[in-house]
Amino acid sequence: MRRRGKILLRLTVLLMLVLYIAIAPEQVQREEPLLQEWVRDIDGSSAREELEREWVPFLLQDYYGYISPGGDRFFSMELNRFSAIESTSFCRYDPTRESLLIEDPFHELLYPINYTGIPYVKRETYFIVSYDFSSFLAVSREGKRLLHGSFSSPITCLDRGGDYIGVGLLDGDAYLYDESGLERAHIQSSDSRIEAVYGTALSADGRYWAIIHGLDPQLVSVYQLRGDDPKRLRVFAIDGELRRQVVISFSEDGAYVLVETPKGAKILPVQEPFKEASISFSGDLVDFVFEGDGKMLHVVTRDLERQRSHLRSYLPDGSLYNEEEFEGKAVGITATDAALYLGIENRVIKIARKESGDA
Amino acid sequence: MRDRRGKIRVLSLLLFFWSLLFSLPLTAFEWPLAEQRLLMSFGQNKWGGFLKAVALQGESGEIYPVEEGEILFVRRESGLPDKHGLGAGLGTMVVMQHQRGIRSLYGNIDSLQNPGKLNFRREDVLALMKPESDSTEGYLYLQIIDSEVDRYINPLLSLPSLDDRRAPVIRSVFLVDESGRTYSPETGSVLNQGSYKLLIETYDPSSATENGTAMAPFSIKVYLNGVEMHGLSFESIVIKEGQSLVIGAREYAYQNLYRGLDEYSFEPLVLRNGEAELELVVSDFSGNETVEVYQLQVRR
Repeated sequence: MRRRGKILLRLTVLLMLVLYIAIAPEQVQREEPLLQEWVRDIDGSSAREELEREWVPFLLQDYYGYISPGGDRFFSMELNRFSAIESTSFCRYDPTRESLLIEDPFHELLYPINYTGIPYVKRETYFIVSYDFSSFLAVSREGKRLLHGSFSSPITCLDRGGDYIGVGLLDGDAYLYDESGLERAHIQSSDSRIEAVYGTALSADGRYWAIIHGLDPQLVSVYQLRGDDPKRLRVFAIDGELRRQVVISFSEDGAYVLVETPKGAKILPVQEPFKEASISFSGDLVDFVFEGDGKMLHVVTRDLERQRSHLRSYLPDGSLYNEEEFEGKAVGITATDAALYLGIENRVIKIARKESGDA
Repeated sequence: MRDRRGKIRVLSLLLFFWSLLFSLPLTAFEWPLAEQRLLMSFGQNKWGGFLKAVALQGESGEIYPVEEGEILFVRRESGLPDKHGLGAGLGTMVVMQHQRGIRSLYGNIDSLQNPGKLNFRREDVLALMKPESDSTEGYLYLQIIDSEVDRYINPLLSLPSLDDRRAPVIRSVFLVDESGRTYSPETGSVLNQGSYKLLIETYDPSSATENGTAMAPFSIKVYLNGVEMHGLSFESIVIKEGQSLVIGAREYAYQNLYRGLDEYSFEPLVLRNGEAELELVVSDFSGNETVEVYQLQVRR
């Protein structure tokens, strides 16, 4: 009887072990979780501080600016639709000049832009998009005019990578220009019942170009940019479709493309083996960052009804690595080598990786 | 002279309707609002370019599609910054796909009435108007794109007629010679023979506001001795080699046409020795017309 009990116990342990092995990859792994280091409320515009190079840009519900890694000092300005910010410069409307300005607060330099529109910044390039989305001006962060584009259909998306600027239009056309304004490629897809471009992304080195386009079906086409003609490497079909601007972006090393989908997002590998991963989440995709050459993906979502936000970290195979819930509506995330800076309403939250051995 | 001019104008009208017949969609759209007044006209000088749409003012309420169609694109304004979005130039907006490659864009709306619904009949409510602050009224930005011929179409060409009894106003007219000297043409003016630039400050008063907010007229025609020298009509806008061009009987580039908010430049206007009759005809879309005629003396 005792012997039978022992066998039963061993079998139970074995069964639990098998179950653990089977289920464990789906569970949240907390070997190296993220640690909230500090929270800073930004409750107004601040006086101009002398900024230091390691200060981090932030974008909040009502303010934008730069904050020191310690969170003790910051420079903030009131946000409006003419605000855009990146690591070393920001764009704002100057009421005295009645024009947009790019400002480098680290060197106290100003670059006026004589163009009417709303700024959008991507990889150190400001795109000033006309109010009606029919044209844009691309300007470097040093105020140099790179390219002006006008189209017979509204622009739906823009991106910058390497020497290229990618533009997607509602009529289904996608254009690729170089920095001198020369058209390098023009793609007119005809794979779907209705053609429209919903998102575009260029890899940081300009080697790859991805476009999400069409309805019925909605597809992601990934192109390799070598020589004169882009070579279509792969077409991925999206399960369902989004009829709005879709978030799409390459990891810094260009190995993966993140594409927003109706149920969450997909991580699509650019080179073979083409094994795509799906990640599911509820709420709206707000922002994301790839970390460590695509080894980790941090995704920020918000649920406007519940007024809650989530920061989820995924491995390239789509498995969930960590998940944190926050009160309030998330606005964006910034990554540095050491930490993540999450913007929730008018709070900046620094989240650092927990070192081994930390309590 | 009068007979010849009359014949030319009849011929111009015939040509205009002929071009409408073949270059524009043959659809008859319906107004998207129950009642509306034109607040901004197609082609007017707005946001540093031609306005490629019209703005319709109306009571806050329901917005209907101009024709049955399918939702193609939606942009929602959440009130929160959108790091990955292209900005909020037209606020919350929706684009519909109709037959024959026609797309209609509705901007500055409050919200979609049936989120998730994709196909709309003409009588289905598409969206709600966004009231302006301290008002029960709002304005709708309406754009029509013909994606088969890649151009923005004046929505008024395909919509029912608009009740408008206010004629365009010609505020000032100037002739500028090649040396940059400016002349105000009055009947009896004596000018030197040569090439001139004609500057016309004109606008069409909107019926949407009491003070008649200035809009672009639908057409401006310049006749010299009964011959049409310039004919601008805001029928459609096309982009060629990065330039916005108004396409009507002739093509006009934004950079060359507008000299100010309501000031239009036409050149060249070549005056030759003798008597010259300069006639300006400015019309709105409802057919209201303002005409000014100057008898000039031109010397060698």
